[in-house]
Amino acid sequence: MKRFSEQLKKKANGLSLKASERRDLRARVVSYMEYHPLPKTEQGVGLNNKENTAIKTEEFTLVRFDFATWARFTSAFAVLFVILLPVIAENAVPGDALYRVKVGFNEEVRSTLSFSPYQKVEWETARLERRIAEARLLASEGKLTPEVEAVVAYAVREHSQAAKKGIQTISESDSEEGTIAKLAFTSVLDVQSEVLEKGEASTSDQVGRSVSAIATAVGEERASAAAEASIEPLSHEKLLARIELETTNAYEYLNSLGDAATEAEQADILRRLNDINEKVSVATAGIEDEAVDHIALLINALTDTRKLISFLTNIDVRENVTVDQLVPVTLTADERASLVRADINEVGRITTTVNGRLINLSGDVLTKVVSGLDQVGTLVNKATSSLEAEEYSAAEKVIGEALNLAVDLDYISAADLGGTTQETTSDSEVDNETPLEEETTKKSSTTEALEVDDPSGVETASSTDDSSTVD
Amino acid sequence: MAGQKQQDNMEGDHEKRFLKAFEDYNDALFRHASMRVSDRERAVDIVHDTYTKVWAYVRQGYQIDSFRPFLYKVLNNLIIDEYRKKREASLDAILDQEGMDEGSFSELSESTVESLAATIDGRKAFDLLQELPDEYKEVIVLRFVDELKPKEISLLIEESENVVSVRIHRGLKMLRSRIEREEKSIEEQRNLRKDKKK
Repeated sequence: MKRFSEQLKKKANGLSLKASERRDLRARVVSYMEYHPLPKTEQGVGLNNKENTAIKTEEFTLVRFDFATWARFTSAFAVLFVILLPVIAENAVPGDALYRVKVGFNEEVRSTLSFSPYQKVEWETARLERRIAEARLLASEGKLTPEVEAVVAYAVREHSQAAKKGIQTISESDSEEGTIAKLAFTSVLDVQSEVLEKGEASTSDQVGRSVSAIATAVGEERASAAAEASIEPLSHEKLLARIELETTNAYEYLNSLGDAATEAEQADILRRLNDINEKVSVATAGIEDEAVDHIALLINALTDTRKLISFLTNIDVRENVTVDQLVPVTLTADERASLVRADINEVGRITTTVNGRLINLSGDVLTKVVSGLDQVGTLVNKATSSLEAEEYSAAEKVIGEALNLAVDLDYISAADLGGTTQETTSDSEVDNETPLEEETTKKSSTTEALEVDDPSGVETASSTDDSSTVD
Repeated sequence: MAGQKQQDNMEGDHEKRFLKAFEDYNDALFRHASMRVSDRERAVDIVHDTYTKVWAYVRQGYQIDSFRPFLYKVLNNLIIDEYRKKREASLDAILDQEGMDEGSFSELSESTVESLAATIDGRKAFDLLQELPDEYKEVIVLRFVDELKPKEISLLIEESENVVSVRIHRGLKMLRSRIEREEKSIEEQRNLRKDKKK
């Protein structure tokens, strides 16, 4: 068997891999090993160890491309530049490195997402407010340079023009909607103008804090918008629809303020919203009544709503103006009557004081004062009559005249006697009083008169009688 | 810590050992495959597949103490798969033809095989090996070319030693039979030429 085995083996040894075959085979096996490496726990010193020189592939060089790491870097990069950077850029102000991202990318992207012309107008208006807010922030820190101020003023004009262009587009398809959009835009300019004027009044002489150029730009745009005001007649349906939409937004903004607004502030804003609702109710009720300019009332309600929304949504506005300065309270009939009565009582108090001085007056002064007191009495009677007839405007006007005259008489009589007037000491007490309190005040002011004019108290009875006669 | 380092060193040797096994046995494996499948290119592919399969086995975390028998095992299975594709006759079919079963060869021993092999010219056997069925070719190559012992062959092909011995014996008998037939044929042709000259 040994001979058979040796012979067979000798012949079999002729079957052998050629060098090229062996080389190719080795390369294939090594390639397989590299593409299917051992698990990490199994590696240790092995293929991935750079110090291992056991494998040398002369035919090619294998370059590892770690897709997992590359994908992680790419996604991190994308998150940073597409999501985080725009978010961080939102807080940038002119002069910051990311300000270009905010204006050139973030805002432009939002512009493209504004599908309707009305949305475009709203967004351009919002951009205008953002520029002003940025400028005011820099001004508050004393960093608003003339160059930056000029850039902001230019941006204000640009956004204003863009808003007007959007309004023009709206007007081409629906003139009433265009007019309503213009009203809303003008309201925003009014608010911003108010804020800038207040700021300029206090900081015009301070370096880095003046916003005069911006205030001028806003003022010019405001004037231009007002001059271009359309005289297209508006329908009450359109106005009502828009007011409904805006007041709903206003209530939502108010609710979203939450604890950011005090109870008093929330009450103030609610009062304005109630006033707006009242105007709408009056306008709606007076649609058939030609005496009632219901369109003017509705326009007024819309502009008040827009101003209120600016106040609610813009911290910069809230910090610089009061809601009363933007949207004064609309007094109810009872409130007006109450104010007129308060003025009547004030006039009575002053004339009581003046009557108390008559005995010490002489000559022309006495004549003048007596004549004046008669006039005051007449005016008060007129005011009372108007009040009873619920003619509040007439009553307010007449009592205003009576009050001015009474104050003059008080001054003249006091000046002649070389004393002080009573007006300045008692004015603030009268405004917030109820009728019961007014009586008390009247008595206390009478007491004050006693202390000043006649310590003995003899003439006090007559002066008290006089005051009751006036009432 | 020392144990962990030692383990790391052991694990790091896997690749070295595998590559050494490649260097040591690639030629022998090719020779075996070439004698079994009679196709050089196919034999190279089978050897490549053998090594990649063994590497996959190592990746799964299995420890191979000795690469040689394991490589032969995998190689043999791949060759069997190759033959299954070609649908060679099974051992059972051959047994059926010859009317015998493996149980009747229990008395076969190594000495019997040796005696039979001594009567065969190995050089001529090599040329005629391809004509044998694969089951016989397999065991003859493993026994006489790869020099595996019958027990190793039995573990490799997952048959009993008895079956291995039977197959070797039959394979050798068939080889001898074919060699004799060929020699007879050559002799007859020589005689024919002589007759013609006359």
